[in-house]
Order: sequence, then structure tokens, then C-alpha cells
Amino acid sequence: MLASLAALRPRQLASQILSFALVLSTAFMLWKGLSLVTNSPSPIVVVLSGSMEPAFQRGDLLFLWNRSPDAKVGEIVVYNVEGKNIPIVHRVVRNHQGGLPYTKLLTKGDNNHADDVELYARGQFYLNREKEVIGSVVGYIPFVGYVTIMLSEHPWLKTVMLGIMGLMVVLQRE
Amino acid sequence: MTDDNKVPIYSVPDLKNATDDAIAPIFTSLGYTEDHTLTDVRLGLGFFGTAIAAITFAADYKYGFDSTKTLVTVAVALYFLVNTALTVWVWKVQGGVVYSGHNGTKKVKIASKAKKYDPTYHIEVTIQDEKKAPIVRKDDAKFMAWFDEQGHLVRKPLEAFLTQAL
Repeated sequence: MLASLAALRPRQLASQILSFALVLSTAFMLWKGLSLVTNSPSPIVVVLSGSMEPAFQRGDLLFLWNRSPDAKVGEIVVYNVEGKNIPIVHRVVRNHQGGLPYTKLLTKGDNNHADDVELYARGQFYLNREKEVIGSVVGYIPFVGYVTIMLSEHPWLKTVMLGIMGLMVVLQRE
Repeated sequence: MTDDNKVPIYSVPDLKNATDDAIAPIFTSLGYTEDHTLTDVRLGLGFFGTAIAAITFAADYKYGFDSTKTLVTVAVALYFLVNTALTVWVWKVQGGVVYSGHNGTKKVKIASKAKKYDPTYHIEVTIQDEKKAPIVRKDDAKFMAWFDEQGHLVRKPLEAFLTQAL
């Protein structure tokens, strides 16, 4: 396999590397484009826990929209607490200060007994709509995100997949 | 290790790729110098786009979403502009050109085509001598003419096919 790579002329090799790079960069730029349109740093997220059952199951793919400045009670939002890198999908149960722009939210998982105060940063009793919420759920596809759960639970799968993808693109010309 | 020069003779894309690759050496031996401009522009556009994406990725990774919004907006627009240019270049300008070169003042450009399940090699040869109007000739032949039973490319008959189109 490597011999067949070495046999390529430099421009051919460059072409094949380019086609692989273009696949990756186009995917990334589409993601960034979507991110700009929705105004969310992460416009598509995967549900990682069962705390919102029966609305969402583990592995559901959620589409977010982050252009409305307020969040109504009953809305499902995704937020990132500073210092913790896992986005949490929970429902707004209280809107402390209805007035903009200092909207403060209280959230709770449908399937949890207690509200989310424990999950927030130390000493904080509310969510900052502007700073911490990365979007409201506007649509979802059940289950298809399960692959990413598999990948994050078994990180070596990522390396294997990326390697196979790369080799395939470089080696085949059709 | 498999024999790398061997082509599965029932696979048309493989036959076509092997033939495309064999054209340049033949023309070199006929005294032509290959002109890489078409490929180089494509590679240039492509890697320029990839570089934009890479810079965007780095900036986003380092500075986060909110502080890079303007930059990323510009980058995304530019990226898709470059990508469109690349697509137009590959489809409209480069077409199916697999060889372009010159011998003295004589310029030759060869575009090739093959239908998916039809083992016929179609070529379109454009010859331009100095300022005269370019001559375009079309020709086709079966791949069997220059591949042996094992799938090795035989140079002589391919060379004959090409020179006769010149």
C-alpha cells in the first residue's frame, strides 16, 4: 500500500491529499456556517444522559437555535457551565427576571427529582441566558447520535475511524 | 505484495486511470514538455481553501466562538467562494484534461473520457501551432488495444493510438 503511494508523482500525491483535506475542511466550514446562522457555538448536540426522558433519549441528535434573547418557561435549552465541558440539555422551569437583558433561568431535567442549582457554578442559583445557554432545542432526530456516544466512550475508535477514512481517500481514485 | 503495474482488466475506471497516467511519459519521450498549470491552479485553489479552514479551526480553538465571530464569518464566506472557484475550474476549465504540454511552438492538450461500463477510451486532442487556430480531433479506441490479458499496459499500441491522433 505504501509502495503504491510512493509510486505516485508528487502532483498526484498532492491531489489525493487535497481531496482528503477538502472533505474535512468542507465539513468543518459547513459546521461553522451553521454555527454562525444559529448563533450557537455548537448548533447540533447529542443527548448524553437520560435526564430528559421521555422527551429525549440518550443518543438523540438535537438542533439548536440561539437567536432569541429570552427563554420561556417550558423551553428546552442547552447550556454549558463554565469550567465543565459537557453541554447539558434541560427544561426551563423558572425565569427569574423576565426583563432583558439580564434574563436568569432556572432549569431542571424532566426525569430528575431536583432542579439544576447543584449543577451550576459554585454559589450560582441561576443560569445566565446570554453567557451560558448555547441554544434552544428546535428539532431532533432520535438515536442517530449514538455513534458519537460510542466514540466518546471508546476513544480508540476515533483514531481507527479517522485512520481508515484517511487511507481510503488517499488510496482510491474513483 | 501485488504487482502494482497490473490493472483489473474488467474495471473501466482502473483502465482509464492507468491509461491517463501513461500518457505523460509517452509524450515526454516524444520530446514534449509537460505543462502543469491546470493542475497547479487546482492544487493552489484547493490548498488555499484548506488553509483558510485550518486557520479558522485554530482561531476558534484558541479564542472561542464569541470573539471570533467576525473573522469566522469572513472565513466561511471566503472558503465557499474559493471552493466554488475550484469547482468551476475543475469542471469548466480543466474538463477532463489529462495531459497538456508543448513541443517547441506546438501545444497539445488531451482530454479523456470513458463511460462507466463501456471499455472505450475517448480522447479529444487539441493541437495549436503558434497563432494558428487550434485543431480539435476526437478519437476513441477499446482499452483492449493496449492492455494485455493480465492487465499490463503495453506502451507501443497506446503510443501508436496517440500519435495517430496528433
